[in-house]
Amino acid sequence: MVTLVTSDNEKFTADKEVAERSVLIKNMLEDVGESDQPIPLPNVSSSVLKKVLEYCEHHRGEPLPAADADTTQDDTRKRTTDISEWDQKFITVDQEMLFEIILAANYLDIKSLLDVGCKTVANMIKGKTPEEIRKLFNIVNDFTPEEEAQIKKENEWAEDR
Amino acid sequence: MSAGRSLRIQERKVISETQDAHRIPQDSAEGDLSEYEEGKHETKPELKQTIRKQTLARKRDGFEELGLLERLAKDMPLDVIFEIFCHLSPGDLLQLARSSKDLRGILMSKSSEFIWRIARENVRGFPPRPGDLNEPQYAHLLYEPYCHVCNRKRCDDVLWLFRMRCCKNCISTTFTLFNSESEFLESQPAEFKYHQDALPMLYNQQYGHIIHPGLLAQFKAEFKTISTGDRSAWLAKKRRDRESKISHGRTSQWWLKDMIADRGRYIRKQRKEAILNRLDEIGYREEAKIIMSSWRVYLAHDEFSDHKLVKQTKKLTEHDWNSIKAPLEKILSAWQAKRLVTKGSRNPIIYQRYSDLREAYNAILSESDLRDPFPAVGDIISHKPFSDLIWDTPHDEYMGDDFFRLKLSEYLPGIINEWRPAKIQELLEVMRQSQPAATTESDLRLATSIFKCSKCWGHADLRYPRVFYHSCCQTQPDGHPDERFEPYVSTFPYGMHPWTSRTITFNEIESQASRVIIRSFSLDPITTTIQDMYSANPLIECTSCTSDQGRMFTRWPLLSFGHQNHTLRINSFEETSRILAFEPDYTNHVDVLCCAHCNKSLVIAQLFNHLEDIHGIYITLDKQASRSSNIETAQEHWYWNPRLSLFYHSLRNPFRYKEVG
Repeated sequence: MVTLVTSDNEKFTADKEVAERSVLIKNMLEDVGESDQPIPLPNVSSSVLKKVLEYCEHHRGEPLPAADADTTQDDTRKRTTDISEWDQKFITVDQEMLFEIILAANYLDIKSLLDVGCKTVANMIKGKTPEEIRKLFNIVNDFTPEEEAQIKKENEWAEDR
Repeated sequence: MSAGRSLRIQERKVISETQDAHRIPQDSAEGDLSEYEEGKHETKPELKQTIRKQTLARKRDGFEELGLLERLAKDMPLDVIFEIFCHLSPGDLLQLARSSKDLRGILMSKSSEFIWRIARENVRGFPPRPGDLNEPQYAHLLYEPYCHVCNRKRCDDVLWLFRMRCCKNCISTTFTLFNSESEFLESQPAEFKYHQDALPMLYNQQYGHIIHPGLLAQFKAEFKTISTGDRSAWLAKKRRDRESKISHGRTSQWWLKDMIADRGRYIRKQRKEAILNRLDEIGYREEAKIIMSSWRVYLAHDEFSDHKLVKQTKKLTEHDWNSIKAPLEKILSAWQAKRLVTKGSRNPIIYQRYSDLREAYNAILSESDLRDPFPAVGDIISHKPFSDLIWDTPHDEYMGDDFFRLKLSEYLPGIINEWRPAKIQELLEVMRQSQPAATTESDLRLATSIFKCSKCWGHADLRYPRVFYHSCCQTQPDGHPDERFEPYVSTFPYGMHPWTSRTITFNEIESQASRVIIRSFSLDPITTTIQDMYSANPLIECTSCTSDQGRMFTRWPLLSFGHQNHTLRINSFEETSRILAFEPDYTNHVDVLCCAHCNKSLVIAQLFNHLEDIHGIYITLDKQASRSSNIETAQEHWYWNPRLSLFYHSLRNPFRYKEVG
C-alpha cells in the first residue's frame, strides 16, 4: 500500500498497482525504494485525488503506455473523441472539477486520464459558434464589433499580417 | 513526459519542463508562453509583446470568475491546450480563434500550424490543402458558410478558382459577369484571345462567365513585365495553376456536400433531442416517443420527427422554443386524444407490453443481417410464447423492452428456423404461378425474379429479400390472426400483421425486360443472380436517351427506372476512361449500406468513420480515386441494405457525357 498526502493534508492509502498508474508516483516510488513514507502531492486537493484514485482503481491492470511509445507515429494517427461509457460517466462533473482533474492528470502524469479530460473539453467545443463557446466557457468577448467583423476576413498567420 | 504526444508537443514540453517540473505557477504562465513564442520568432519581438499584453490584460472589471477554457489557457502548459485542440476539426479551430483575443493569439500563430494540420488529418477524406492557402485560410474557405463579402447570406457553393464564397447579392458588385466567353474576350487585348484557359475566369451555370477584376488586373500587370520570349512559359504556368485550382475544387466540392449533409443531420438530431427534453418539462415527451416508434421508422420517418417545427436544420434556442411550444403542445395533445379514443377501454398494461415488445424487436432488427428473410413483428407477437407472456403474466409484474429483448434472443432462432422456410415456400408458390420451374430459394435470388405488389402504386420492382420487408405484406385490412391482439391493432398504426404474400404477384413484364438486359451483358438469364449483376456492374450507355446535352450513361441497378425498352450499349467504348472521369458519385443521403460487421445501416458518407470508430478498422483511402472507388475497394466491409429498393443500390449517379471540341 502507498500513502498519499494531498494539499489539504488529507491522507489516502491506495494499492501500489493503483497509485502507480501515475508515472509521477511510480518514479517517486522507484527513487525512494521500499519505504512507508507518505508521498506528498502538494498540487492535488483531496476532492480531486479521490476522483483520480477512483479512475485509477477502475482502470487497474490495464496496460500503461510505454514511456516513449508512439512519438513517431503520433502526428499521423487519427484522433477520435470517443470516450468509453464508464469514463464518460466518470468525467461528467462541473467545469471546476473537470479543470482540476485535467490539471492533476497532467501533474501526476496519467496519460489516459489526461486524454479523457482533453477529449471532454474538445467535445464541449465541437460544432459551436464563437458566441456559444464564450457562453459555455464564460469567456468575455474582448473584440469590438468592428474587430469581430474584421477577424472573419483576416485569416493570415499573425506573422504574415 | 507522456507517451503518445506529438513530437512537436513534446518539444514544447521540454521547454516548459526546463522551467518548472510539471505545473507552471500562475504568475509565470504568461512568461512561459512568451518565452516559447520568443524562441520560435526571434525576429518578431512585437508578436511576443502582443501575446504577453493580451494575456496580462485579462483583468476584467466585475468579471473575476474565469471559465474552464480560459483557466486552461492560463494555468496549463501549452502542450495540454494543444492536446485539446488536436481533437478538434479545422472548422472548430476557426471558431475558437474567433472567440477571444488570447485564443486567437495562440491559434493564429505560425507555430500552431501543426495543430491545424492534425485537425485536418482528424477529418476523414479531408481534401488536401492547396499550396496557395495557409491552414486558417483553407479552413475558412471550407468551413465558413457565409458569403465572404457581406458575411450575411449563407452560401454553400465555393468559387474555388477565386478561393472564396460569394452570395447572389454580392456577385455582381464583386465580379464582372459576361454571358459568354467570346463577349469577355472581345473586351480584352488581342494577345489574350487564345489564352482564356490561363485567365482568372470561371464558368458558373447560374451566373455565366465570372471575372475577378482584381486578379485580372494583376494578371495583366504581370503579363506586361514578362518579356515576349518568356511569355509562353509564364502562360503555361498560369494555365497549370488555374487547372489545378479547378480540379481541386471539383473533388473538394463532393467532400463539402457530404460535410454539409452530415452537419445538417447532426443539427437536426440535436434539435430533436432538445425539443424532446423541453417536452419532458410539459409532459409530452412520452407522446412524442410513441409517435416516433410508429411503423414508419422502418423508412427512417415518423410524423413527429418529420414535423416542420421539429425537422429544421437549426439549433433550438430559447426564443425558438417559446415560439414552437404552444403549437407543438396543441399537435401532441390532439395526437394523444386521437390515440386514446382509438385505444378505448383497452388494458394499458397489455398495450404497454405490446409496445415494449415492438421496441425490443426493432432494436434487434436494426442489428440483424436481413439478407435472409427476417420475421415481421406481427409474426413475433402472434407467436404463442410471446402472446402468452403478454397476456398471462400478472399485471403487477413489470416486463419492459429489456425483458422482451432477452426473451427475443431466446426464442428468435427457433422462430426463424420455423418461419423462414415456410415463408420462402409461400413466395416460391407465388413465383411458380408464372415460373413453374422455381423450386428453391436460389431461384428467388435470380436477377430475373421480380415481384410486384397489387396493393400499392409504384412497387413493381420488389426483389428478394426486400419483398419480405415490404410494408403492405405486414398490413392487412381484415382481422389480425391473433384474436387477442385484434383490439390493439388500431393503436399501432401499421405493420403489426404477420408477413403474408397475399398482395404479391410475379412481375412477368419486368422479368422479361430484365432477361433482355442480362443477355446484353453476355450473361445467362437462367443462372444470373442479383449478386452476379452487382459484381459485373458494367457501364451502360442508353443511346435512346442521347440528347444535345450529351450521351447518357448509367449503371445496372438504375436501368429499370426510366430506360425500359431503350437501346443500350454495354462496356464497349473506345473512350471509356475519359467517360468514367465524368461519372459522379452517388449523392443521396439514404442509409443504403449495411456494415458487414454489425449490420448497422449507414449512409455512404458514414461508412469509413463507422468502421474506424466502432470496429477499429482503418481503411487507407486512395486520395486520387473517387469516393465510390474507395468504397468498392472496401467491399468486404459492407453490403447493400436489403430493405431498400434496387434504385438505391448504386455508388454512382447516371450522367451525361459530351465530347469537347
